Amino acid sequence: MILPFEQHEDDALLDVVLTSRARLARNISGEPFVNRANREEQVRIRDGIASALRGLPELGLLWFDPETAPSAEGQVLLERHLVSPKFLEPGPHRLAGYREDARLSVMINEEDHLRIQGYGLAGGLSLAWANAKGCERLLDEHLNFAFNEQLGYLTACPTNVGTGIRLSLMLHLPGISLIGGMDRMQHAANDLNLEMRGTTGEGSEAIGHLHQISNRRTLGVDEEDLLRFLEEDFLSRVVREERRARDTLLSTRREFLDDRVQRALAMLRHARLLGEREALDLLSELRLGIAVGLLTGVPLETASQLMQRVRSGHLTRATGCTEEEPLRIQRADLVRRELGGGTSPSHPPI
Amino acid sequence: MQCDECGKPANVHEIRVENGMKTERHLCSECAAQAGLTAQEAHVDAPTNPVEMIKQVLAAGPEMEVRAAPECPTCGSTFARFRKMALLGCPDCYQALEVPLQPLILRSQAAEARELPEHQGLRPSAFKSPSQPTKTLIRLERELQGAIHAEQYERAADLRDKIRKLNQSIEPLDQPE
Repeated sequence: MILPFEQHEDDALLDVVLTSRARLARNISGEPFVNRANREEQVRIRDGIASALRGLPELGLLWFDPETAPSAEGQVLLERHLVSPKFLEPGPHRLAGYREDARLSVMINEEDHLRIQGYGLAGGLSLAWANAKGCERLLDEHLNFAFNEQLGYLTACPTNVGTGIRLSLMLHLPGISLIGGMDRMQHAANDLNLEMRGTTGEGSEAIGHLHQISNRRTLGVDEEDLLRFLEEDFLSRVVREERRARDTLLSTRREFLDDRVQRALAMLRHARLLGEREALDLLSELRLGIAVGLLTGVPLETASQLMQRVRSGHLTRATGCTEEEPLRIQRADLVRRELGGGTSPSHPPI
Repeated sequence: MQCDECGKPANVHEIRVENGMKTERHLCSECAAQAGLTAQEAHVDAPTNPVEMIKQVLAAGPEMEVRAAPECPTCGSTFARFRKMALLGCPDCYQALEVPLQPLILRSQAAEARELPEHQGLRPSAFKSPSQPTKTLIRLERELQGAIHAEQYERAADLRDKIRKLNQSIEPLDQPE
């Protein structure tokens, strides 16, 4: 089986969709779930799955052992969504594998024995699914997954039972948010059995107008049908609504919108200290300005990438800084550099 | 119902639930006496109707309820543990804790449906689909558990008869020659 790691992605939805992810939960038959497994069982499960994965060099995985690797490395993987916050919590013997191009990752002994995650960018949900499924089918030949006819794949939490699939989209929705449509959006998602969360997962608030949307139902719905529903039905509607909201703002409140965007650009170009949250909120405004054509000098891609690079873990890896204050300086420097702002002489002339 | 030992009409019924496993014995008075079953530890009833039998089990009081609280025979997890952690202990918990678990799964997965939908989608390539009679048997047994839980005794009796009949019809096929 050839996994479509190299496939070119459709970028038609890049103004609204940042990333797409497909996750599959699997457990080894005959073994207790992670929460019930003793240390010996955890090691056996981990090593069994890792050995099957190591026998598949075509996956191109790098390894991350949270017990031995520096914690900054875990933070970067977390910000890239390659591992979950739960994975980094102290606890069972765990192991993660990931591709450097971030198209695929696996977590061993998170909530389930195995979580496989495929990734894509805008409009890349099918690609994300193809990567996750490809990896799962390869492993299926070597591992015996817990399964029954009625309930499908058996997972530690019954909310994942069945396909064990979670398809999620990271959406940038400043338009809907600024015209006050987020509540309606929440309700619509709820009615469609979809979960809507802030940027970093469960219960978190939406920083930088970033929202993660994912399916709730996993039993009785075929993966491909779910994918079609999310991509063709739901996503196209949200993208249409977000673009319409942006158009409305542009035609009825152009100065208001332009002011926000220009202020954000000015702050980002000239600030000497930037906190993570502030940077994300400003970059969100900038991204909106670029998407609606109010700013032409900065590519959309630059704003999207900066939303990742200003995160603390990424900055720490890039600069070696771990302290809050120097990180704020580094963050402001990075943003100014990328957006062509003023330089920061160490001894400013008086 | 006939005595398990001698085939005479049985009027002493013993149902035990231990480590999540249910065992039943049906005996006539003589065989029950021989087996040392006294009226205190067994239910002696006038009717031999299974519906009445289930009613008696359910009415047997708190001690019986504690003994009947489901526990996974493989990992020892109980529904109380699940309620606390929102996590099951092992794949077998799905079967062992099926009765209390099913309404929760239904609510979280398919709130609009009346019964659990069957899995659709990928399956292990090595997984052999059970034969149709076995599938029916699994479904009937699930329905029986649900009926007992919902105190629908007439329905439970019907289902029990159906299961017996189906068991008799498929057992000879499954016997090695």
